[in-house]
Amino acid sequence: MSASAQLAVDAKALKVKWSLMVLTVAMFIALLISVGIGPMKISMYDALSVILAKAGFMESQVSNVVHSIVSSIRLPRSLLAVLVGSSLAVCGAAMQGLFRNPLADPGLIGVTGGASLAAVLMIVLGGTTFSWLYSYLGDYTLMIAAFSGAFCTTMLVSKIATTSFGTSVTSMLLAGIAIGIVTGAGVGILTFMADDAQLRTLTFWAMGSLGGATWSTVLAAGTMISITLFCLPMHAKNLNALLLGESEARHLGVNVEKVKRQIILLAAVGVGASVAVSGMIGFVGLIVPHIVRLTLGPDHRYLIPACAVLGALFLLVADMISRTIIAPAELPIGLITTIIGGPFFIAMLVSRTRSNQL
Amino acid sequence: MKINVIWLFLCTSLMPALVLGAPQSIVSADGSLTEIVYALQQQHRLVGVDTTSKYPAQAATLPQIGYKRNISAEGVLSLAPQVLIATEDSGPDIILKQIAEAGVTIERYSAKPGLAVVREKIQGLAKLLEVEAAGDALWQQVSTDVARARAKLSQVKEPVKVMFVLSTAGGSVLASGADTMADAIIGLAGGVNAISAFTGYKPISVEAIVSAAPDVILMMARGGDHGGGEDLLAREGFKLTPAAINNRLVKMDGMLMLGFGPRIGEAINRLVADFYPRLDVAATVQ
Repeated sequence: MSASAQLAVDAKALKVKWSLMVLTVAMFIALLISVGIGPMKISMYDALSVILAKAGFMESQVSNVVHSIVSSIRLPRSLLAVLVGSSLAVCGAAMQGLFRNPLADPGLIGVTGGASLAAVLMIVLGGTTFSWLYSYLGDYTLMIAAFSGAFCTTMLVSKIATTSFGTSVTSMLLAGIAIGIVTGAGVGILTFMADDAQLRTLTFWAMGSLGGATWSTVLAAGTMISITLFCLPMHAKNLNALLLGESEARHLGVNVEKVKRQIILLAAVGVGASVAVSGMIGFVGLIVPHIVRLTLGPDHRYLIPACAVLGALFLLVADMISRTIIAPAELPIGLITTIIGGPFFIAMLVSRTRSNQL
Repeated sequence: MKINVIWLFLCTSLMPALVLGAPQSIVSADGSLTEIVYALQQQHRLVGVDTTSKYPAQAATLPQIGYKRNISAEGVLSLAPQVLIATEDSGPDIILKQIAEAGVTIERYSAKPGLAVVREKIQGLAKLLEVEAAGDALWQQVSTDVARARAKLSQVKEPVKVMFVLSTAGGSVLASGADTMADAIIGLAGGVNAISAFTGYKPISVEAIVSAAPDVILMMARGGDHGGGEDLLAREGFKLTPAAINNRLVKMDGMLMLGFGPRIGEAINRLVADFYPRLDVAATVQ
């Protein structure tokens, strides 16, 4: 490598380091603001004192209501935004790398279809056919069902696309679309059977919300999502090799079949857990990786961590808007991510098509 | 030991006085409950309402907590209520739990249709607000209204067949089957639901409309695509029904007709008059 090329690489690495640092700082600031604002007027100082008191640093002198709002409503909710945001963005990036398609998102491998079918099944038949499940799992029935649904459909899609020659990415895409149609039909039938109250519930579920966040959901989803967030970056180099093409990656010594299986499994866990706790939050998995790729380039070693941080930041901001814009009512967060994400994505498509980059 | 017993006695006797004082700030997550609070003249205690609270019109000027099945925990808490009044179908449950954990008392009432539920809501709220006398008077007025309608209905020999049309948007007709608010109010007003083959609100085919042969079409009075308006009777299917032939389309404000609130007596009487316009009113006065 020539000296000038080495210099360029160093400059690039420096830029990436700085960007990651700035993003991380911005995310922590957003996290603090997120705990500090909401429909209830609580001063930033009071909000922070609750957190510091919880961590054992100081005595908090706020009222019980303020304490309970900050520690059992805002804090778990903000942490859930961080978890779900990073998980959706990272899984989106991994899917796009795996399918070598900039439009890929976790919906393609059946995650969202399976999760919504299971969730709608519980909403509509939870009171009758599946009431025994509710008696075992209580409030978490819907989440556990959505997660299992996501996981099972993804495994099914992957099974359909796997032959003795390995997993074909093209068949997987087609199988994903087909399963999506089948689960969509199931959701349609259940929607037809639903009564007025259930219809409303399932409509709102499909718009996404972090409103149900409690410490136990944070803990449950956090465990699953951490697995994905820790393990996916280990595949960064493999994903880089896959960008060249499957046979090229094989020649570079990548065990392509194993890598594919593991990435799909990790994405199913990450997205499944996110959808289970927050419903459908669209566009995060699509636009966040795109923004990062446009600014930092396609190297997955930087792409994945940057996506994790930017995804968390994006969802924190979207959730703050969701909570405050029509307070004391709440606008579903899925609507906000789509309202911001849709036009942004179109603008990006237009500018890239003009310069023939897509 | 003795001192302990005295303390215990003092605490238990004073506690209810401290805790159970009539709540002065209330958030309502149901339109019919809001109506009852207004009917009891206790609206000054309301600090927030949901989007179904549209009557009386002043209720809509109070802070909005959103749709009753999709309320936000912090949104409600920011209004600092002592009590949240809701029905069984308000929610989500997980949010109500969070609100309760923050120290707000939650009073839930049944969401099922029926006069018993109206009574339970009126008397329950009156007790909560410590205006029992006003509550009894309000229920008395409702039951008098209902009795007046029943007296009229006793002369009816052949009940009319009524089809409730929820909406005609999107080309298909959404009609009410059994087990709905609409089904219940039709029954209370002396009609028979023309459709009993299914429960809830479902789309039905043109042929099913013809074969149901309703004498009256009942709709909510509201604008836009839901209305359908007078031209509904001229539509395919509807135009072959007795309702269209005799031009009998009845429209009523949705909250009045289906709210199962304090105005239910008025709703029933108006529907009876619309269903049976030829009933001899004079004969029932005695």
